[in-house]
Amino acid sequence: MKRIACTILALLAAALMASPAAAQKKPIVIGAALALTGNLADSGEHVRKAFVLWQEEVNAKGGLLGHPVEVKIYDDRSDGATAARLYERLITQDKVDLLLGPFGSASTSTATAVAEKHKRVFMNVAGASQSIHKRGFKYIFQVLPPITEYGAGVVPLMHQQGYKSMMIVTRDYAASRDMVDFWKVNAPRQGIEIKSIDFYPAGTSDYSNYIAKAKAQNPDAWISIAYPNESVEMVKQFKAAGYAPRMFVSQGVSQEDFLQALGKDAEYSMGMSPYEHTLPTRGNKEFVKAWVLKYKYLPGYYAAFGYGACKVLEEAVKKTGSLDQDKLRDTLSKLETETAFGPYKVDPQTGEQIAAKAVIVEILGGKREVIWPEKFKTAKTVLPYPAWDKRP
Amino acid sequence: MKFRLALAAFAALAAAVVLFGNDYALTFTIQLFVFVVLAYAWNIIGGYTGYSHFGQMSFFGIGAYVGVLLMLHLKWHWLGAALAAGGAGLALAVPLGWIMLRLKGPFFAISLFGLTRVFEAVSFEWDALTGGGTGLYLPPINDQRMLYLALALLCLGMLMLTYWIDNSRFGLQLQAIRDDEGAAEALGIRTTRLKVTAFSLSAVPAAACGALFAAHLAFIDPPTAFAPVMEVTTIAMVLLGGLGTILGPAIGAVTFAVLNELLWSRFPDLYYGLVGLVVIACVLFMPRGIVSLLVRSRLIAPGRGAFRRIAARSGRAP
Repeated sequence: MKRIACTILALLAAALMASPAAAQKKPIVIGAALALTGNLADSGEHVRKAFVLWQEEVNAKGGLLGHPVEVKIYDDRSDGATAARLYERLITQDKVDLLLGPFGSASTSTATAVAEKHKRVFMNVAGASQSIHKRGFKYIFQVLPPITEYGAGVVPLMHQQGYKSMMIVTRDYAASRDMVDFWKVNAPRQGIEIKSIDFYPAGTSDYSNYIAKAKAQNPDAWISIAYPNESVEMVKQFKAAGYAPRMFVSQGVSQEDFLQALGKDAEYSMGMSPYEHTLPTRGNKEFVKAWVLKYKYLPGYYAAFGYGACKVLEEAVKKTGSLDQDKLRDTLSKLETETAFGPYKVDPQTGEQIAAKAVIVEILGGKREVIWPEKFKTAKTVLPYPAWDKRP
Repeated sequence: MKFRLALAAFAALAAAVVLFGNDYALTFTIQLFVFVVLAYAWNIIGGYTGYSHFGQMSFFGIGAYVGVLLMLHLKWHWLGAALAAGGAGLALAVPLGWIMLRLKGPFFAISLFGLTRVFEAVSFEWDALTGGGTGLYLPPINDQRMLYLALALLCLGMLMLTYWIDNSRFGLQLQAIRDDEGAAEALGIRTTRLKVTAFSLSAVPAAACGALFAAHLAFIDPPTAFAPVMEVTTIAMVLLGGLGTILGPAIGAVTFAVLNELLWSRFPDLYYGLVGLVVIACVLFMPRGIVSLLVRSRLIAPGRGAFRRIAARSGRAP
């Protein structure tokens, strides 16, 4: 019995000492836990690549405050509890200098609580839910626009085109609930009727019941906050069922994966996007070039979140001139800047992003073209979304 | 005597984490304790009574929501909320057990899995109460040492409860049901009542644990509350440690959690595959878990009580 106890003790001790704390004094270590496995892994991977790209760039330019930079990335398995544990590990065991956020609202929710507890500056890279910034935290800074910005253009675009009704079919998670609440208020103001709202759980791959419902209700627009793989399934099933709304908008359309998976069938789908590689934001051309050179595909907005967060952090550290967390916090809450991703400015009370905006894109000729707002337009809208038997 | 030593070792270990560990050690151990409690709870119904099922997370998730709602709206302390969550677990388990325990084998196992998915769907849909996919946010607990202590005591309680079951008439009756329910009933064992009792004993700690877990994370949403991964991990832990044994769930949970942390921090890409191989190897070479290995190498005694000795002599691993 004693020996068992000893074995357990030894195992536990081994676990706790498993990762050697960053021993070298020299590099500035930046810690993050990303969804590298689990249901958000596809998306988390883009962010990881962005961190790596930035790390190479900043080191090539001589590092940060004269130190080389090392980004230490763990896998949170798309799980909030694991994310909390990993940020504890990054802060108290690995003693990293700076923190970048995880992927997704659930992991960001639990990780921000840990960072705030230790009074550590935390860049919210990809947690779009507004609830994250409603807890009175002082050290959390959002880089991406809050989710309600994503779909803000949908209503005016529909109004402009004279469409009168929409049906919402959306993945059920924190951010999409916020978005739907926004539409519930704004659509009726423009005379647009919301015929139905359906939330499906993550991992759903069969949308036939919603398609049947859409055929019965005949809404002008089908609107989804769906991940790229889910958006792909929707379009495949539209085609199989011979159904076409007059306008199809889904968040996931604006990721490269959507185009790659569907090819020609991707045409005329619309996506909500807080970033496009064609946008004239500061340093965007260089970012897109470096990304394509390294990864051989065009960066989508998850990539830009990751890169933008790194750039904002870099600028804030340089401006502060030290890694002191409270000074850095003051800098970040007042900082106004622009990165390849877009403008950065937060509400100093909540850390919520207020400057970044989103655009609406349409797939035309095998490319994502910006069709909304007017000032970033790269092509003219083609509507309605054509019926499947009327396509070339 | 040896049991007391095990208790003392556990207490010393638990104290060491608080006294010498950093916050990461604390978080790691809190999450480990959650699994230890779940494993012990599942072992009562799955291991001793022979009613394996995939519905443990129903109680965990409902406990989590009951706890969070009490903490959020009525500003209850997490300890009171956890006790109330345990009560909710009991209130659910008794009628549910009464109905569901009529099913046997795979039917029982799968029906409870289905039920968990129903609870998950309800918690998604009933957004006025649960916040749907947004989840519910609590003010974070910055000093989690008391939470840790509560979970440590709960683990200890589960260990003692299992020890008692293993050495009591009640436990023997449960094992009789496991081995041959018809025969047990013919011998005059009140099978339904005992099964419902065992089911409740496994539901209450799971529900209380759910509330503590939510307090620890300061956040709950349906995928976290009713996570199938946690369900399967718990069962794998019990199988790894030793089904229907006193030390099995604890040994399984600790081994699994440590392997988890070691393998996955070193080989994130291979992680799932490696864990799968470890579990397969255990099932193939140690069908009664690590405990049977320890018994065979005479590190621990093959259990107590006349019945267990006879069983051991006749070659069946205890």
